[in-house]
Amino acid sequence: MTMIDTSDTSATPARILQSPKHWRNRQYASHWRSGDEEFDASKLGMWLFLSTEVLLFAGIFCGYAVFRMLYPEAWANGSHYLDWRMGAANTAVLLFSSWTAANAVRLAQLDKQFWFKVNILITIICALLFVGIKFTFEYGIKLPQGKAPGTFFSYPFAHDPHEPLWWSLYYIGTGIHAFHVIVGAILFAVVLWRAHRWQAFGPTQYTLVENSALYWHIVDLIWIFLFPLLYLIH
Amino acid sequence: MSTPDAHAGHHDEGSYLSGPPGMIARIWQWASTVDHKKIGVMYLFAVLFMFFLGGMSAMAVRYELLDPIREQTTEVINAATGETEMVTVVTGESLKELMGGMFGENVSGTQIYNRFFTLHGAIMVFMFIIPAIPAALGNFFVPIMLGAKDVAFPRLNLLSWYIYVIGCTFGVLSILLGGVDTGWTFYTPYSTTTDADHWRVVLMVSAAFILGFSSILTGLNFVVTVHKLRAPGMGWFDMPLMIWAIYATSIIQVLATPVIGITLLLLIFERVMHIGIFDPSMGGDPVLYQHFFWFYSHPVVYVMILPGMGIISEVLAIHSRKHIFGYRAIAFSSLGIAGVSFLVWGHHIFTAMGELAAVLFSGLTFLVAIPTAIKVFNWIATLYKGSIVINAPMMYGLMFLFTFSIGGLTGLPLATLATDLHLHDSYYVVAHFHYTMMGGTVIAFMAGLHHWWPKMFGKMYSEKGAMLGAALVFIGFNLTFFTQFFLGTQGMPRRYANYVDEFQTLHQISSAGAVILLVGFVVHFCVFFYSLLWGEKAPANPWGGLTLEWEAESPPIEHNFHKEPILKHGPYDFETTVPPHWDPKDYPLPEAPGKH
Amino acid sequence: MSQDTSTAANDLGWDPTDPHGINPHDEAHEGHFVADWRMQVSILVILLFFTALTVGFYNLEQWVETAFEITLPKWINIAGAMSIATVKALLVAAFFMQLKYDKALNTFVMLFCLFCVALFLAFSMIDLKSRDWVYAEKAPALIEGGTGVGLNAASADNDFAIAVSPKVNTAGQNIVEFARLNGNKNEHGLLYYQEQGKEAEFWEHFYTPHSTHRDPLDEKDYFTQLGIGHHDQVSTANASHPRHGLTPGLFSDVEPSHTTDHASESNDASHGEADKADDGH
Repeated sequence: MTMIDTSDTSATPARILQSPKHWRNRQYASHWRSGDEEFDASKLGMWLFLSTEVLLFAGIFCGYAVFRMLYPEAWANGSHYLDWRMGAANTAVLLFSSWTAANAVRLAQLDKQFWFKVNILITIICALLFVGIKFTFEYGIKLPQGKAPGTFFSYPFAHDPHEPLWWSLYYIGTGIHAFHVIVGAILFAVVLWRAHRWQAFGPTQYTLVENSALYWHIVDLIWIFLFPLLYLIH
Repeated sequence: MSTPDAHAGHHDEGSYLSGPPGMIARIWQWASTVDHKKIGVMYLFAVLFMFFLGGMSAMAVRYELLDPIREQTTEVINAATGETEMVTVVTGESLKELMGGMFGENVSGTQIYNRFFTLHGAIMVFMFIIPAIPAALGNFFVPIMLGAKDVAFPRLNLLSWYIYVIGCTFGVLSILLGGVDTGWTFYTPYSTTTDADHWRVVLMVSAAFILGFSSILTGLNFVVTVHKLRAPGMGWFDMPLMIWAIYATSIIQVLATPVIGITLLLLIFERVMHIGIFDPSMGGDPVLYQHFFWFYSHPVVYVMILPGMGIISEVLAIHSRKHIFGYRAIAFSSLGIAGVSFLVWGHHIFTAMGELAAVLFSGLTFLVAIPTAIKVFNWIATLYKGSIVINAPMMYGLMFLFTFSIGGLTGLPLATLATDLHLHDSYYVVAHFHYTMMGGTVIAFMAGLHHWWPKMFGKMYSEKGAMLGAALVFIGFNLTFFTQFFLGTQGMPRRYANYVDEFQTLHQISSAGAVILLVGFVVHFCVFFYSLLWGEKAPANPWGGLTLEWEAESPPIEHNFHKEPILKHGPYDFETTVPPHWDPKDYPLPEAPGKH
Repeated sequence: MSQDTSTAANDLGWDPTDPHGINPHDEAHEGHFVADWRMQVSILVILLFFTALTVGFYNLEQWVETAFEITLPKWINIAGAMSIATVKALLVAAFFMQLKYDKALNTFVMLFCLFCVALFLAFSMIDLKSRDWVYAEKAPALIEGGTGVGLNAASADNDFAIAVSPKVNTAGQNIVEFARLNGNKNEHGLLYYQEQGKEAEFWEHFYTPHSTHRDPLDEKDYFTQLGIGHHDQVSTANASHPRHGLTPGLFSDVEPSHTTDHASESNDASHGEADKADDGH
């Protein structure tokens, strides 16, 4: 694969090169002793934040686990309503986007601006694809059928009296997850904008890219667990 | 640091309190600041205001409890028609008589009471006590004690402050709409089914949800600061114990708070959409809510007490001019408390749980007494043979030892399954947690406030006034809450406005104590107000402390230190080190240069 | 390190000529690990493979059950799914998130967090499962079925003195059954279609056969399944199997008396209809 060398700054307009937001001109905050320290600290901070995200979903997983233990049939019935092919497609989309996000970090480290932006864009597209598949082929079909959470439940062919509870947990789990996917897409959109407008990211300044990618990987991780737990119960 | 600081006496760089002239410019300076000290001061005034609001709710509660609410139905002969009829007279609805008009016609006296105790709990827990020491004093002093210029993420700090403000606004909005009567714990099914008009409950629950984010971000900031921003030469075991305490607190904040976030979110969904997770008719379980809720709320009580314990370590050591006894034991016990705190939440649910789980939780709850006791013994050992100075911080420190020990020990009958059956949801529990939260955290907060007031604002406070306030607070506090232990063991349930006549005397004593407590805090308020405006200028190191904040000026400059401090002594080496800014002649060290 | 000789000359901690440290020799790659693109692609391929594996495992389970006509124990499904998911998670965490090449502290943060999650789930599940266990030594003190005190007290449905969220009283009917008959406001239930004489459309529109469902009663009449047969379970202390709504039900704006009459009517009517519909499917 021939790599186009896009790290030459001669093609970059002077107004971008001289902008204080260009990665060569950005400085670490004055209360740090070095840029490396600031980067490491930001990463540690991000990992702490990711652990809060995991604990947020832990509540949903706990509700799921408790009620799966108590009502295994309702859970098995409920899972059969879900199309595992949609779920698998979404999983593949998310895994692929996880790869492009990790790749984007690598490319920013190597100052390959063009491919870096391409990878970020693909990640955003995958995020939108995930949400699109979910809203059109899953929510969009189930909600009119009455397979809805809580008060809106009206599906006529439920087998088990606890299926409304299953649907509630399904929608809350996947809904909150979809919300996080959208937040991740917004984060990457900010990254893309800054990269495009000011070439803000480069080998010495890519903290936001790294942290956005970490966030994205956690979103992917949550889905890796949600998918078999929701779609593949038997 | 024995040579005088080159910048001493030069005011080239003003203190952090100085700023541009002009009202608008000053307001903008404070509203947009990323300086941890200004953020800490803003938090301080906010939490003190919340303490005032919560305290007023408490006064309303105690006012109601002076007289039990009674409904008496008697046969009365109607003078006009001559017939007998049944007339129901309600007596003792003190709050309704006082302010019933504000709530409308249909709200009964007991409902007003329910709203007030809920408000007292919600305001005090979510808006005062959780942020009080970490966000107010911690924000100010953690970077300075570490020798850093600021916290790890200053802008995140400001965001955390604004999230706190928004959360409190939601809470106040809920109060203005009439408040909530579910109890600060929002137990299902009442909180999910009460009141067709959703807004009051949803607003208050959302307020708690938003405040959780503020807590998480503050905790996150401190963990990274402690890991990454220590001064050169400061290893983990050279840090002041206050930092260890705040570090342990921050770990709990980061790990436990998201769970209350999802819990409150599920509560709102249950209320608005009836998802069924907490409703038995859909197969859910209301006690599951209690598991979710207490998984956060138990660790959070350690968020409340740990920073207080950190303050006590500082205050007792400095004001008895003696090195702390068992530094490593106290440091590790802080982490131990943080760790064990995650294992014990079920002890709030003993009467609703299965036996196996209850036995497990009971055993684990006894474990948490161990690191706590280690600390108390170490503090007492610190005082032994120290040169104790009697001033307001030390008085509060000693008070803490007394009241917190009572609080901790009275937790043991509650951890024991057999006795908890009788004491659960009685006034014994109320007394227990007030002795630990108020007798622990608030007393420690007062100790810390007096201890660091000169450093924060550059003004001394009146020692006599502070001692008077402390005495009133001590007497008032014990009168209010010690009686409640007896009320509890005799069977008075909590959250009740009615009670049998036998309890009235104790309730009245308790309410009288509350008034004395109020007077005590008013005295403190006056002392601090006077100090800010007309107080004597404070020296850089009034108490002879050795931790890094005493090397900075009072109040500190914007960047805390003129040059990055390099650590040359431990934080409690009183026997071998002349404190910064002190003349060696005034501080005779013992003859033999000795052991550390 | 990167703070070099220019700072040694003075005793400031930082260089006044370069306060923010934009030193040309603050190297880009100092201490920063750059991943190898080949490694990343391989990890992606492995992850996709494991995804296929977990789906394959699920299909395999079903095939095994139908082909050999056995019922696999429930734990196999969850053990298989969770172990594959854990492997995928470890790969993502170690290689995409670069925990393997990072400071150990970050890994420790995540592990401790997962420990807390495990605690939370474990203790909650223990309580929910064991709440109704009775120990042998206490069994004699229990009265089966309770003492009957307060059994005939007025039900909560009638006595709700406080205003409740607008919900419908299902008047003793099973919630799922109620939903089938009445639907929500937008999608009318069976009753509506029957009134319009378009019952066949109802079945056509809403019924999706679930051939993968292993319930042997699947072919039989849905209405008879509810409340009898293998769904007939008594509520226990830790699992609620409601015969009827204990709290006011799900939907708004429907009168209880109206539904009760129609429920009994339509039940009889639909038995015949359902049999016919079954033949068609």
